[in-house]
Amino acid sequence: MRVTRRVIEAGIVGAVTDKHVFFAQTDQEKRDGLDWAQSELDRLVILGLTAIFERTVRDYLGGLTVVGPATRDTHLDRVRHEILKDMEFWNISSRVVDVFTKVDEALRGQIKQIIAYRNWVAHGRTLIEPPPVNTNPADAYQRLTDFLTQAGVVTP
Amino acid sequence: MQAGCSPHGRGVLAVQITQDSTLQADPVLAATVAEKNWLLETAIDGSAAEATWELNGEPGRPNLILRVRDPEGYRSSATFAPVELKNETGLTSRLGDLNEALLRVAEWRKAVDTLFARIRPWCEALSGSPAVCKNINLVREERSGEYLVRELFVIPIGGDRLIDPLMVFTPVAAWVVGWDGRVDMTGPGDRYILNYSRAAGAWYHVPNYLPYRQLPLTETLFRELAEACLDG
Repeated sequence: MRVTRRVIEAGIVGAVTDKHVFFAQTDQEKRDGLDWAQSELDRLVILGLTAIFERTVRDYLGGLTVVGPATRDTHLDRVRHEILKDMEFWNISSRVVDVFTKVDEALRGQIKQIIAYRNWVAHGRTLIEPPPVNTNPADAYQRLTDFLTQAGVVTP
Repeated sequence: MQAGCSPHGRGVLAVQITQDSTLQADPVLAATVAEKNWLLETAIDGSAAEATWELNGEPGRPNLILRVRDPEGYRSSATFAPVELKNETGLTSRLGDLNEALLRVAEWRKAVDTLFARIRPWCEALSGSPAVCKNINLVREERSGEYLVRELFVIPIGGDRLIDPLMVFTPVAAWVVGWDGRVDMTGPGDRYILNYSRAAGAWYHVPNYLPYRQLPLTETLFRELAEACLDG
């Protein structure tokens, strides 16, 4: 993307061929297109980071001793299986995050904001409604990591 | 239609509240809206000088747009469904949120203006001694609706900000996870993010690579970012 931007800014005649999306576009259209692509990539990175975060947290909860390991007792294993299935449907923002009481409350709030941002991206409303809050990949990565570390889900 | 006195025996409203002609053409809805003016005035008194209700939306699904102008002349807006006017508690809560948002936006504008005043001489000292000019940009955020805020352009001497901007500083949002505002600096070479911390009263840049660092915005850091930004 950076190379493309440099090619466009340098204005080298013939450098953008008809196989490129920017072919025959004005400089401003090319700049706008690149800015849009950068923003879209940022949004998708945060979407991916949040998905990894959620999976990590749910896997951690499923492995807690309160749930217990599988036994040879069919009845107990069925109950365990149903509990684990239910846990998959716990709302990540309103239920899962607040289970981690040892995580700083402000950080828990920020994680909920990142999840709200992720939902905004995932539900495809990016062109209609503004995001509930703004963030960027570096900040989102750090705060999600801080949460997992404080929660004891991962070791620093 | 201009609001006069509140139905609750209060005096003349301090906030000038009007309705647009489309809303006035619907007398039932216009009257419902006017009944809530005292609530609006109570909620946004101090954060807004003028408020206008507009009727918008598709037939059968009307929307009420509340446009407010703060004492400094800046405008913001919020959208309401007519049904929201029937629930006084809910409406009070939403108007309270809007008031908080307006105050926040006003503070955000000041932070942006302070940043621009600080970096202006730094911009003018860049290679080629470029010129600096400002423009007003429209930002739309969920909590505040639309509002206007300044953006800063670095242009060649005698240049046009629309044709050949060298670098642009664009306020992106006042509501940012973990921060109190974000301004993007964009040039032909790259784009960098500047974050505002209200608690520290300072601006920071977070590089887009690990390890995560929050670097206070100094003239030296600014020059490094600007040179990378301009290096097209």
